[in-house]
Amino acid sequence: MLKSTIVDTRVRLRPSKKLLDLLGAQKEHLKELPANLAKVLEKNGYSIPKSTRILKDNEIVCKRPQIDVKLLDKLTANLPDVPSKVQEIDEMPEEKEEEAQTQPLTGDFLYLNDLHFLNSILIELRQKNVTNVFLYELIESCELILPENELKPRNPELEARCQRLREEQQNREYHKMTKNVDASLKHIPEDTVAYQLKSINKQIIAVAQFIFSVAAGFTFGFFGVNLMIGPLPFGFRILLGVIVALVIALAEMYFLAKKLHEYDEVLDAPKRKNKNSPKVSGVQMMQKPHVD
Amino acid sequence: MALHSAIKGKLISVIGDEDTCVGFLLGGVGEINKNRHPNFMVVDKNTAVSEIEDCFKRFLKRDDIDIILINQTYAELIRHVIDAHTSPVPAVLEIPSKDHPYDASKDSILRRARGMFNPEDLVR
Amino acid sequence: MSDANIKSDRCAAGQLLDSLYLNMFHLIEAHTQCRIDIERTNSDGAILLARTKFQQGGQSISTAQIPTENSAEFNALCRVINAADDDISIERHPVDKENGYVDPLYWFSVLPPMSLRNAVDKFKRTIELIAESTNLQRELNKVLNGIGRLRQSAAL
Repeated sequence: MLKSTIVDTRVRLRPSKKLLDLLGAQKEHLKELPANLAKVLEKNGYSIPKSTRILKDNEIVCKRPQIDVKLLDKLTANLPDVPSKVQEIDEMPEEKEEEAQTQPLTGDFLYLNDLHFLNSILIELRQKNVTNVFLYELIESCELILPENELKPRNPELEARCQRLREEQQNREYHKMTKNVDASLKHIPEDTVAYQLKSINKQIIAVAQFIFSVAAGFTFGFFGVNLMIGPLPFGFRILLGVIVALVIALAEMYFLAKKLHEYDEVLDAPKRKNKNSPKVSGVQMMQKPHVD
Repeated sequence: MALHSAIKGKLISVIGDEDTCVGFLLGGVGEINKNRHPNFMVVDKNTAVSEIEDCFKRFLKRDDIDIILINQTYAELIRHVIDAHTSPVPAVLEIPSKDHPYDASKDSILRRARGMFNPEDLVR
Repeated sequence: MSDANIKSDRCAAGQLLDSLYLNMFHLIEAHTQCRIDIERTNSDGAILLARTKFQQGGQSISTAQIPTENSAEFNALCRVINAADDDISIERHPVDKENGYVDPLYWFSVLPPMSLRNAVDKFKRTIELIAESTNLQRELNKVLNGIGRLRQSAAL
C-alpha cells in the first residue's frame, strides 16, 4: 500500500457520548437538524421527533467567526506565557497511530458545518436559559481526526520495473567504482578493439558530418546562388560561399560542442559525485559478474 | 556595507532532497551571504541525521531567516527539535517531497491541535 | 463584583473559546488544503524538471550545478516582507548581475529549454503558496495559544 495525496481535507470529529447525550436530552428544543447529525443520532439510538426539519448541507451558514482579540488579551493578560504542552503531544500513544494507518477509520463523524450548527443552537439555548453548556465543553471530550491520506495499492508491474531499473543503475555504479580495483574487470569493456572502434566511429561520424555540411554550405554559396540569379563575379561568389559556410559552421559547432560535452559528462559525472563519499548506502550491492 | 542596507526582506531557507532544493533555488530563494553561508541544504542518502539537526539549528539562530522549509521525511528524523521550537519566527513549514505526499497526522502544529482534545468514551 | 458580572464574564469567555475552536477547525482545513496545493504545484514542477533532464542528459540538472560554500556570493531573488497586519508576502527582486542578483536559470543551462522555464514558473507559484501557508500556520499557532491560555484563565 502506498500513501497518496490527501483528497478530503475536511476536519472530522468523532463525537463522544456526552455530546450525543446532551443532544438527545435537548431534542424537543431542536427545530431543525443537519442531515449528517441526524444520521449520527439515529444510528446511536436517539430517536428524533418527526417535527424536526432536516437541513441540507448548503443551508447551514459556515463562516469563519471573528475573534475578539481585545477580549482574549484582556482575559489572558494576567497569565504567564504558557509553554505549550510538549509533553502532552508526546503522550499521544504511538500504537494508536499505527492502528489508524493500517485500517481506514470508520464510524460516524461530525463535520465543520455540524459544529457550526451546534454552536448556533447552543447560543440560542443559552439565551432561552434552557441550558448553560458551551460548545467547547462538548467537543473537548471528542477526538479530532485530521485529514488522512488515501491508501492506494501500487501497481505491481510498475514496482517490478522500478526495481529492475534501480538494480541496473546500482550495478553500473558499482562497475565504475570497482573498475580500477578488480583486475578481472579492468579490461572490459574499454580495452577491446570493438569498443574502441565503436567509440572512434561515433566521434568520426560527428566530425565528418561537420565537414560535410560546411562543404555543402560552401558549394551552395559558390554554385547554387550563381545558378539561381544569373552570372556573378568570381570574387563575390567566393565571398558568398565563405559566408554561408561560416554560418553553417557556427551552428554545427554549437551542436558538436554540446554533444562532446555530454559525452564527457556521462564519463565523468559519477566520479565527480562520489569523490567525497565513497561510502554507498546500505542497499545490498549486486554481485559483480565474473568473467573467467 | 551598501549591500547590507539594500536588503529589506528576510529569507526563505530550504532543507530538502535534491529535487526540492533545485526547485526552490530555481524559484529564486537561494542566497550565499558574505560569510559564504548558504541558506539551503541538500540532503542525500549519505547525510547523517546529526548534520540535518545541526543545519536546522543553525538556520533557527540566523536572524535573517523568516521561513524554514523542510521535507516532511527529514522533519520526521528531527521531530524532537521541531516540536521544541514553538516561537512563530522563523516559521517551520513541513513540505511534501516528490515521493512522500503530505501527511497531516505528522505535522507538528496539527499534532498540537489534536493534543487539545482528550477523547473519552467515544462513539464507534 | 456582583454575581451577574462574573456570569456575563464567563459567558463571554465561553463564547470566545467556542469561536476560537471553530476558527481552529477552519484553519486546519485551510492549512491542509494549502499544503496539498503546494504538493501539487511542486510535483508539476518536478515533472517538468524530469522532462528537461530527459532531454538534456541525466547530469544536466543536479546538485553539481547548485552553488556551494565555495562559489561566489549572491543574493536571493525573492524575499519575505511583512505586509499589513502580520501577514507576510513575497517580494521579487529583478535580476541584476552587477549587484549579485543572478538568475538561477542560467546555472543549469546556457540556453534553457522551454520545459525548464515552465518549471521555474511552477516553482515561483509554489513559493507564493508557501507564503500563504506560513500565514495560515502562524494564525493557527496564535489560535492554539489562545485556546491554551483561555482554558487556564480564571474566567472559566
